[in-house]
Parts: sequence; C-alpha cells; structure tokens
Amino acid sequence: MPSIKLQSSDGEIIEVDVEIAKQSEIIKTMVEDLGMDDEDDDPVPLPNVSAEILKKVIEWCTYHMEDAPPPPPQNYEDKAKKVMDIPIWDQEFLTVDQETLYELMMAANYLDIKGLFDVTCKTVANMIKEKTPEEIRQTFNIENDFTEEEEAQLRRQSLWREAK
Amino acid sequence: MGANNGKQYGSEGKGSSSISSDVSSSTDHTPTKAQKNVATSEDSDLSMRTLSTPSPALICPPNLPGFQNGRGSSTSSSSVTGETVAMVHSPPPTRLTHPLIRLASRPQKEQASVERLPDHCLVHVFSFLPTNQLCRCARVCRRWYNLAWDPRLWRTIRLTGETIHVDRALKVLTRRLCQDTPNVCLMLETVTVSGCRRLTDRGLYTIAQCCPELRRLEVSGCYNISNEAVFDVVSLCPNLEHLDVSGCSKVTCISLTREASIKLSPLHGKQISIRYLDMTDCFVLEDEGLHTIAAHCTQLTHLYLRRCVRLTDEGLRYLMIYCPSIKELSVSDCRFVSDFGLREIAKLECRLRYLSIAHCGRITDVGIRYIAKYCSKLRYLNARGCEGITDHGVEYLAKNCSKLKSLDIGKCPLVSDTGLECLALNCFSLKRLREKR
Repeated sequence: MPSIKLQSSDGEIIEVDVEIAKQSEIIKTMVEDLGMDDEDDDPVPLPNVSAEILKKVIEWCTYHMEDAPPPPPQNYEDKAKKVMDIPIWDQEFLTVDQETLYELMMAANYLDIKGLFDVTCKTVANMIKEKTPEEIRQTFNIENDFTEEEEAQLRRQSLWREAK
Repeated sequence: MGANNGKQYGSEGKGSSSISSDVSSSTDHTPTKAQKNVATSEDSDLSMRTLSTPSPALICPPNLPGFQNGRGSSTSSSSVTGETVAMVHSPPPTRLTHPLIRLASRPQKEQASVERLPDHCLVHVFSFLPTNQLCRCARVCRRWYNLAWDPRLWRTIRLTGETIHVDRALKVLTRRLCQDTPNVCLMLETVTVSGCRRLTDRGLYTIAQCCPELRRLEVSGCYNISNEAVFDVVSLCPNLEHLDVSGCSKVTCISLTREASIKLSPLHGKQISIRYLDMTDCFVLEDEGLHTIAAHCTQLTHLYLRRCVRLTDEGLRYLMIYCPSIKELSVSDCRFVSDFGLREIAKLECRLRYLSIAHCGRITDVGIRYIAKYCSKLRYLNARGCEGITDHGVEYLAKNCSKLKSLDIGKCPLVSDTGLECLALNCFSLKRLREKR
C-alpha cells in the first residue's frame, strides 16, 4: 500500500499509509487533486501539528480506518442528546491531560478530521456537563472576569432554572 | 386578544423582575452583607440548587472540605484568582469518575489553556450541550458569555425537568435571543419543553410573540396549557410544521382563533401549515374539534389521536374531507371507531402507510376489507385487540397489502394459523408480526 510522508512542526518526518492519512480531508484533497501519490517523495509539511500529537492523530486514524463514512453534516440540532455516546476506545484514547486534548482538537480541526474533531469536542462537553459556572472555572482554570455588577445581573437571569 | 397579550406581557415583566430581585436578595442576604466578593455569588447559586434540585452530580459530598467549609477561606482573600480557587479545591474530587476531570482539578502550571482554543472550536464544544448547561457556560467568563450566545447554538431550545419554571425560562431566553433583532428571535426553530409540567399559557404566548420562525414545538405532558395559547402559537408562527401536544388534556382544538373554531370554517381560507400533529391523550377532543382541526390543517401527513376516546366515525369523515395527504394515522383506543370509520380512512388510498386501530373493539373484517382493498401500500398496521377480526380479514389483508412490513394482530382470538399461513404466502416484506394472545 502506498504511503505518504508527513512533517510535523518540530521537523520530524512520519511515514503513514495513504489510506489512513486520507481520513484528513486536507490530505485527501492533496493526494487526490494534486496527485501527490507516488512520484513526489517530499514530505507534506504540517506546521501546526507537533510530532507527539501527529502520532496520536495517526493512532486514532489507524483504529478508525474501517469506520463507515461520517454522516452528512448536520445542523446544531439534536446534538445535545448524543453527547454521551463516545465509543469506549475513544474514551480511553482521550484519557489524556487537557493540554493534549486541546492540541488534538486543534489538530483535528486543522487537518479536517471530522470524527476526531467531534469526539474531542464531545469529551470537553462532557467535562462541562452538570457543572456550575464556578466548577467549570475550576476545571478549566478560567478566571472570572465579570464585574460584580455584571455577575449579579447574570445571576438574576439564571434563577429561572431553579424551582421554588 | 392582542391587547390582552400585551397587557399580560407587560405586567408579567414587572412582576418577574421584582420577584427575581426579591429572590436574589433574600438568598444572597448573608454573604453579600458579610463579604463583598465575587466568589460568594456561586454560594447562593449552589445553595439554592442544593435545596431545590438535588442532582447528585451537582452537589459535592459533605466530606469534601474544600467546598462547603473551605468556601469561607476563598472569599476571605481579597482577590479571586484562578490560583486561589485551585488551592481551595486542591483535594481531587473523588466523586468524578472521568479521569480527565480528575486530572483537570489538579493545580495547573500553565494558565488556562482552554483559552487557547479558537472560537469556533469552543462553539462546537458548546453545540453538544443542552440548553440549561449552555446558560451556565455563559456565566463562566466574558469570552464564554459571548460564544455561548452564538446564534448558531440557538436554533433549538430544549428544557427538561418537571419542576423547572419553564415560563420564566422561556421569557429570559427569548428576551436574550431577541437582543440583536428587536422583539423577535429569528434563529429559533425548535422548542422542546416536553414534560415541563409548569408550562402555562404564558410560556406559549412568549413563544408565539417572539419566535416567528418556529417550526417545531413539543409540549407533551404540559397539561396546563389551553386552546387559547395554542391558537396564538399556530396563528403567529406561520412556519410551524410539527406540533406535539400529547397529554395536554385541556387542548380540544387547533385552529387560528376561537371564533374560527366556533364557526367551524377556516378564516378566509387561511391555513395552518402543520404536517405533524400528535394529540395523543387529548381525551376531551370531540368530532367537532377534529372537524375544525381538519379544516385548518389540510396539509397534515402525520396524525396521532391515541386515546381520544370521544371521537367517532363522524370525526374521521371530516378528517378525510379536508386532509387527503395523511400518511400515518393512529386512532388506537378510540373505542367508538367502527367499520364505517375505516371506510372513511380507506379514502386515503395508497397514500396511507401507517395505521393503528389497536383496541378499537367495534372493528370487524368488513372494515379491514375496506382498508385492504384501497390502501394497497400500507406498510404498518396495528390491529391489536380488535377482537372482531377473523382469518378472512387477515387473508384479504395478506392478498391485497403485500407490502406490509409490520403487523400486530395480537389479542385477536379469532385469527388462527390459517390466517398466518396466508400472510406467510403473500407478504414477503413482513419483518415483524405480533400475534401472541
């Protein structure tokens, strides 16, 4: 099977099966439209992805190579229901520190790998779920930059959720 | 009607704002006076939630020192930085099983790396959250506030919970969503508040007035809503296609106005564009009501009237006059429906794909023969508990409706192996057959 060379941001060159790499829409476009198949042996530079992350991405793509093609893009509807349905393998694969998770998300976004992008986003969504704003700030180490006044206003607006 | 609405809306606005300030001031009372600090805001939020909606995932176990006792120490420090908070909560919360979250709560060396994510990534993360959680995200920080109100995230409002103050929730949300487009939310297409029993007409008036682009409304089980509010929604939301009022037992009619429902005729030919209507368990619905609905909603393709026990064959006759496009119809448990009703339904001819007449005890082979003769493309038939059906009916069905995929003839004691054999010989697409007694 033909392979393709990818160059990470830190200069490492990784050779990968073309069929695996084609799960990335941009690589697929490159291979199919620009005919980078055989004759061209230059590595494809990926200036936004480090070697460590690229290896993880390839690991994910290797596991998911046999998957059915993703369903057609849907609107932002009815997604809330499906938030929990992350396959076990993906859950374990994404048991990493936050930094790596975000790197993976951005790499998936840059390389246009919809399945990986969705599953990383879902993982973060699951970390947000069922938390109060303060708990979210702690989880993600976010500074509260609302003024006291603004926060009082927001709190008033948020009371709708509570029962008497 | 319009003036009435306006009045109600206005007075409600005043009332609710004073209520909210009352509530917030009463719950905040001690902390705000004791220490003026931002962090206390969460205190009130949390304590209220503990009192009112004790969801196990939200409440910290009492043995967690950081949360309930340690709060004081965080508030006593003058600046609430990420560090302070992290320090207070340094013991890893054992209640959370997800390893990521355990990792996350450790004190971090780097500052808030989530902030490095581009906007569209965060918006995509938010798109997987239900409405109530999205609202909480909006309270995290300024950036999240702006992203959480991205119009793309607000095509759907989905609220759950029996005790939620859904009227107020809808008002707060629609008001916020109207911010950039005065008085109307142009992005909102779906509102699902099924099971939120506290929904009243007021909540529906809010939707009717603010959401002209609404396509789908699900208020299943909200039994306090009345005809008037439903009239408002259908007359002010011209794009409404999907309406689920199942279990709304006060709803007896769906038309543009009460006057129209009395006169039993559409107002100057004005129509409601609803295609999908679920009135299951609207048990006060009568033939005249169905007549009005049919006359206004001529585009219906899916209609569910389960357990509308007062309906008779007459109602079905009206329905077939006005609504020739029906593909799916359920009149299960409508005990007055008889063979004459099926003769009416048979007028749908090959458009009918799904029919449920379960437990319509008056139906016999005669009615089944009408359906079989005219509705040759029927795919699903539920005739469970129609005790008058015999092998002859089943045989006729098998020979004429060869495309049947699913058939339920359970609790039909007169159907024997002869009928089943006939099905086996004729209906090759049949995948699901229930015939157990």
